Amino acid sequence: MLGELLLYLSLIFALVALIIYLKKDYNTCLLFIHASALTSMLAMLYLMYNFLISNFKIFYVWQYSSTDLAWYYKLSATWAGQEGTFLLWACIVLASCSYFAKKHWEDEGREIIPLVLIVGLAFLVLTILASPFRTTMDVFKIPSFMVPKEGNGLNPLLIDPWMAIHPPVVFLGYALVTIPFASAILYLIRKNFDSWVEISKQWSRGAWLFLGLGIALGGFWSYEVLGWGGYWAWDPVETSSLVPWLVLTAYMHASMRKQEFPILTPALATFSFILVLYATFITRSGLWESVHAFGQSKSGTLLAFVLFFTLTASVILLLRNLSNKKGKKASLEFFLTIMLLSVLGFVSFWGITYPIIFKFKGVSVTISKEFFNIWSYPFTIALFIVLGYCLLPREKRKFIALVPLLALLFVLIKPTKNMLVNFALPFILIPLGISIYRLKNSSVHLIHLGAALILIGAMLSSVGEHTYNINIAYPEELGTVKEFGEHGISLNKIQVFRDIKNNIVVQAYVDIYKGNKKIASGTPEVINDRKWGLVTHVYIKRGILNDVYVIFQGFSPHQENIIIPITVKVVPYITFLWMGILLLIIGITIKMYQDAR
Amino acid sequence: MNKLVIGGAIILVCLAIGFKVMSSSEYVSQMKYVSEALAEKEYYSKHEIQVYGEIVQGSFERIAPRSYKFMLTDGNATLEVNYVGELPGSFNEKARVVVVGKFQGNIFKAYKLLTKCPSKYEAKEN
Repeated sequence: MLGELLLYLSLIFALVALIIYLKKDYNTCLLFIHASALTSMLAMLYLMYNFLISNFKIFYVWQYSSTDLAWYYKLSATWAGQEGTFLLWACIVLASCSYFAKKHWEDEGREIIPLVLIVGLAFLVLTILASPFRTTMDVFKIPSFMVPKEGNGLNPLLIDPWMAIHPPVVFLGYALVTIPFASAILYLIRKNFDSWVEISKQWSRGAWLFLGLGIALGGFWSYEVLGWGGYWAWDPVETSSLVPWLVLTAYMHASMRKQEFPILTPALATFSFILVLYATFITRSGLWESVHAFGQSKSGTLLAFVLFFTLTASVILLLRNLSNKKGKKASLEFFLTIMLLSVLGFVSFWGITYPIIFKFKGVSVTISKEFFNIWSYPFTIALFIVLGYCLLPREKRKFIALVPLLALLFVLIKPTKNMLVNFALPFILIPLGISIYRLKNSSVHLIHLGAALILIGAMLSSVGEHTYNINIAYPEELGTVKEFGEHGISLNKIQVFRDIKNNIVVQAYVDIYKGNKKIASGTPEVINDRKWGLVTHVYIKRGILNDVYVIFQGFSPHQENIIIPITVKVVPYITFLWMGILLLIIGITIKMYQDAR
Repeated sequence: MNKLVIGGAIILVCLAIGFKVMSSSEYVSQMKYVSEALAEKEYYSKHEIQVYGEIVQGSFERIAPRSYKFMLTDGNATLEVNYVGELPGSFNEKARVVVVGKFQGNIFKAYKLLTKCPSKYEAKEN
């Protein structure tokens, strides 16, 4: 099979590159690195091609695709399962390796190449172990003429434009962490490799950007899907990707003061990578309950081994360097920022790790959202006190002491109904205000402003969210406006038809009113998919101050008095959250662009 | 060496707090099979539990707007579930589900219904 051949070629090229590197024949080595990256990319392209032509002789294609999908959904089905994502990951690591090698071939950055190659190799092995190119004939033990003419199909929830971008962006973020990790390890091994932070700076920013963006895209998608718990549900898999992002954020702060934190900085870089591996392990091991679960996999054991080995090696290296790498006197603000971000990472880490202890006792447990919310709360407030303090000019920093007083005032005047949110608001709003004021100085303030906006949006939307159960008598109340809060909704008609797959679709035509004015119309729908069951598509009327979220899940037509239930959620200020994410992304992009010039 | 001691102490304190927080168990909720849950019906009429099982074919019905009734089984025992709320975005009556709620007499009153995963996105290899 061509696909498998390409994978093995890529593996061999990478191995040869590694061996030649050790023999110091650098020019030939570079050639083999490029060859390895190229063949892995060809393997990826070949897999995508097979998806495009719906070649069900490849089991992976059969498993996730079907002929009725549009071409772009066929393409995005390439990363619907773990076989494809490992290949994607290996591809990106090898491509970065080849780009990095070309750029740093003349300087000391070259020395991290073997490490990056080893990571690439590990992912190639993982890909080959659970190969996306296994044939349907082998899996089903059937002759090739019996291969099904139609694929198993993609889960309807994954037939979504977000599916095309959310997974690859996350994996891009994951893969890019390899470079700062390898730099940090080399710095720990070698006596003097002081340029390690500078060499990997743009890469860690890229990793931070794409991992953050990937998480955000996932949230944006999840918000639109009923039953995924809104934009953020502390689902083990999404939380497991947040942990390395938080640690990476801590690393970005530490790396600006690497002389003050000679051990902490590399420790954070290595742990970002280890936590990325851990996140992958969580997704693939099948030990957790999650909307992402891929099911148990064969690569779990190898992944656990890689994880354990990397962790042990990193810890030993860090401990060995404790005494011989002395730092300058550290800035307290930076130290606190790093610590608080790490503790926030730990809270999330703990919430997803604790259930394993039970798993070994044979008991399945889940950790409630409240654990994450309550325990992240004080550390987030502390983090924003430090941020506010840092943003103020030196002579005005004492005024930060007024913020707790303001918080108490907020608790008394109750701008929202939640006491914890009232107390937290000033802590976030003050740094938010100061970063706006200081925006002209640096794009870093854009990032801090974004972070503050995200929290404001998250707090206000979750506190202010309101669900209304609206019952409409059919057909008497068609066209009647039913009021809820400041809004109103009218159901104008119910349409039932069969779609191209011959599934029954039931659509509700609704108008949304604000006051007496009609502001939007939409059609929430429910599809009775013969294969996947009931599939609900909500209708969301987005607004700057409020989103109106309309859910229609059908009704029972057999009763005497037909009642059509429509559930409406009003979600205020969620736009702040999306805007915050946008600012975060713009801020770091400007920073990267400025440094690239 | 000093740093090592401090670092170690911080990690230990974090873990200790972690275990303490979780052992108070208000954040931890158990997941049980239908027969296991039924065995401790009394206890779980006061405490929240997640019950895991399969919907008995043909038993799923709407009884009122947003209100559903079905039988849940794990092969050994069967339980009548009354669920009030929205169905998940993709809901298959044949899929395995997790219901979250409490017992009320012999009926399980669920206020959360989740489709149980592995079967969710992945086709079985048989």
